[in-house]
Amino acid sequence: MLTFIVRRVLYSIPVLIVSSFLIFTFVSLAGSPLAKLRANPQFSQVTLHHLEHQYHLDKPIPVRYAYWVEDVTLHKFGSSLLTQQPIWPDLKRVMAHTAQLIITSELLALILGCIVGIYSAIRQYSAFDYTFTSLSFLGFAMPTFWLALLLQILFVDIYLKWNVRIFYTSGLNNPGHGAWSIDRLQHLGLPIITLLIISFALYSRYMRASMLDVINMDYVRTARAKGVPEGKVIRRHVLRNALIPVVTVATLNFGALLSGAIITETVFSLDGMGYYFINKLNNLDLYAIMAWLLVTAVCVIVFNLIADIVYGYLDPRIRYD
Amino acid sequence: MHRRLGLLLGAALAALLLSAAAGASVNFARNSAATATPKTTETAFERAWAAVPKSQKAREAKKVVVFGAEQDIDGFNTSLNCCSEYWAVVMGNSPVLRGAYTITNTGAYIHDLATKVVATPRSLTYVLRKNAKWNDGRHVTAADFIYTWKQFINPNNDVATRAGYDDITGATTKGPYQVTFHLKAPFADYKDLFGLIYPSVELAGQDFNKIWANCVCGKNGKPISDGPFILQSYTKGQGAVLVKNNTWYGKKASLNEILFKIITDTNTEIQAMRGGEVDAIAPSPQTALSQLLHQSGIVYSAIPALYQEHLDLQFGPHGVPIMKMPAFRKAIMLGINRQAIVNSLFGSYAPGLKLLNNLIFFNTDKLNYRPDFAKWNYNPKKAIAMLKAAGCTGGPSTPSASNNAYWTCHGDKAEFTYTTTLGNQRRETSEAIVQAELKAIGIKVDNGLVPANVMFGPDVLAAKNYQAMEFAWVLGSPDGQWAVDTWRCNGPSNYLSYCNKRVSALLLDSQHQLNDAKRRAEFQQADALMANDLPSVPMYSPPSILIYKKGLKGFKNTPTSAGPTWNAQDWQWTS
Repeated sequence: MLTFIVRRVLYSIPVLIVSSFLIFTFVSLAGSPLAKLRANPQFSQVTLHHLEHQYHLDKPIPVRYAYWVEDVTLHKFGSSLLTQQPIWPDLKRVMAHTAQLIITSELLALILGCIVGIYSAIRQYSAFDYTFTSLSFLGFAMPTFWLALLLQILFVDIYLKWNVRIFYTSGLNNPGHGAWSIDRLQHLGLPIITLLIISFALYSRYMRASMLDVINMDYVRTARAKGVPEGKVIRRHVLRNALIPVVTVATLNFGALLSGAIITETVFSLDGMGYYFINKLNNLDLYAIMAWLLVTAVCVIVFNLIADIVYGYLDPRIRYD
Repeated sequence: MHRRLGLLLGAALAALLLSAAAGASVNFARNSAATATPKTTETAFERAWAAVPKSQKAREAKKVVVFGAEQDIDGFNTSLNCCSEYWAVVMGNSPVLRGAYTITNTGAYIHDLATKVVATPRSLTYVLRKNAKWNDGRHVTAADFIYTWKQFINPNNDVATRAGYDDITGATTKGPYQVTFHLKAPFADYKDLFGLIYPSVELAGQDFNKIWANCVCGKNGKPISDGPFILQSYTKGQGAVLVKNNTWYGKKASLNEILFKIITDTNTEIQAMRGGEVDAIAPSPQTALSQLLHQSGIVYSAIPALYQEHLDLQFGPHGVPIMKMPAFRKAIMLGINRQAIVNSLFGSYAPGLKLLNNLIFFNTDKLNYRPDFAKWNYNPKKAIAMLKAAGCTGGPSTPSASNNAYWTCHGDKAEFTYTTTLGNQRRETSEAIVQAELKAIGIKVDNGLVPANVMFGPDVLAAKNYQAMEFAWVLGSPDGQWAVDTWRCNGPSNYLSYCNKRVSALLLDSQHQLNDAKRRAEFQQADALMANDLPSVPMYSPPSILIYKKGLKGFKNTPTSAGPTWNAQDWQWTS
């Protein structure tokens, strides 16, 4: 296993290098970061040319890439082209916010999804199964922005009608000490619910399908025939095998979501990765966009590796050379 | 296997604890080169937010207003390229840092730090207010004005514009409260100079390009202000806190605190306003705002902003030859129902918004604005008659929505490409309307939607590579100075290659004309001439919207870039 991990890490390096070059090239080709400045009639053309020269924007892409790699490796992504402020402190801050949101919502979605999936599989074709199957499809079908807005309107209407503040509609504020104060939860409540509904749908379906696959296996029938109690059959023989694909999917999903639930964070004005990306994209802050993309690529690579490790760990039949 | 599951569960628990730690331990403050803000587990904004009363009644009692800010910012030194942002001005400049003049909501320039300004062809003399002070007790002096000037002309400083400052050759003082700047040429737009004065003592020795990344402060890190409020703190991604400045020379602010909460999504802003999380917002114009238009308990104000949406007609080599034909341009103007476009785009949330009929001034400017282009208001029959009279053939005899006959004028087809920003719903809508209306009178309009970064990049606008382009000039002040480089022959911002020598002469002279009445007349004559030439179709100014609780008074919506906080000292709760 250790050899496998080391080999995967080494393979990741050229993948990252190629990714970084592609990121840099495509983002650079997307347009000039000075475009917005040109639209200002009072903006001096001399200053524009000066900025182009200062930020090497008049040089070919491979040369600019080399400057950028130097910034990334030696100066923690360097500074923003537009603001000249260091990129890494902002990125670190927003990653922490997104991590808090995603970890909470994904764990809750996973736990609830697994519980519902297990019960749906055990009680296949029951009212419970049909109900949650329908709800899962509804959850899949709902656009995130629509769900987010509906939740905002619902809880504002509750406040207007009964003067009870259950959740806030925006922001990430945390008055008082500790990350789990009531006010913090009130602010994160709606974004967590939004992400939870969509992820719950995914995990419950996966869990149900996986359980149904395993529950019909010969060894499960054998266990029952031997007189093992049903609860024990489910817990010891079915569940832990059914969990394998679900945990793998969850790990991969988690890695992808760490790039920021863009729509959710934008709608709720949460200072996270997605919100950061949208702001930088709107301002064409190219180096900040590249840093975000690179961090996202690293997250995806790392969590792919973790998914493989988890899979191998859970399933003793899997052996990595 | 139990061990494996147990380990997994343990990892999940660790992840939960990690997320809690992440939420508790992030330090949001970014230190500028000169500040040394200590790291804390709770940000300044969070502490302030914790203390803000959550109900309107309680906020009234404590004289606190919560204002929803629609965008986060990159820094408070708004003279720099990086940070010349509207919300940076609203949060950290207008209520905090004063200038020689203040521009009111009607576009009038009133004395602020200067009690008297004398402009001659070769000098500008400022007599300063003796009771204007920084909050650390120092007076605002001539030294601050000179320091400000030097920052603008320093070639190492990445300032957005040096216009006017680079005409100053030197400065002499007469005591601490009078300074005379010597000019190499008359500069007519002197009222827009020194709109923001920097504290010379507090900033001495600092790199101008790096100051005020997350504060308006001196080199000791403490907030600095000569305005009615002090920027007590700013937390990236969350908001800013302003507190009353008791050393301000003017009538002391009624409010004790203004808290800006960053809410970037307009729909979320609306819900926050409905739900009482914020007391006021200044959102960008969007259809969703119609929900608040008739909401009880709210005052809704929409006035035209200093934002000139227009359709430039290209005269250069990349344009179509027919665009140089005056009758064709007039037909375009007559064939577009601009009021219908305005009603369609803004009717639901800014009813009554008027057309823009001037290429230099704006509707809110009662003194300077003349509706010179109103003579070209929608008249499709006249457009057809004009084209016929100019010798064009093949077009319809009457306007018709189902028309498919297009004009040919002396061998040139009546056709052009309409370039505008892809993804900008307003512009895509107006393009579609223009296409349909001009089709009805026999002019073919082709789609030319391009992404904004391409349109404003070196290959399209700057290269004058378009036939007709809809975009907007966004102005900081109502003065006509901006028009000089835009409409004069070979002006650096004259992307449409328009050249009328008389217009050019009038605009160039206006730069040095110190007599307000004569200067105004020059701009007005230039605009009247352009209304004959029709180099561009003025369309509208999108509304500047200000929405606030009925319990607040003193709020005055302004079209200028100073934003709603231009008179924050007058804001108060009514009981």
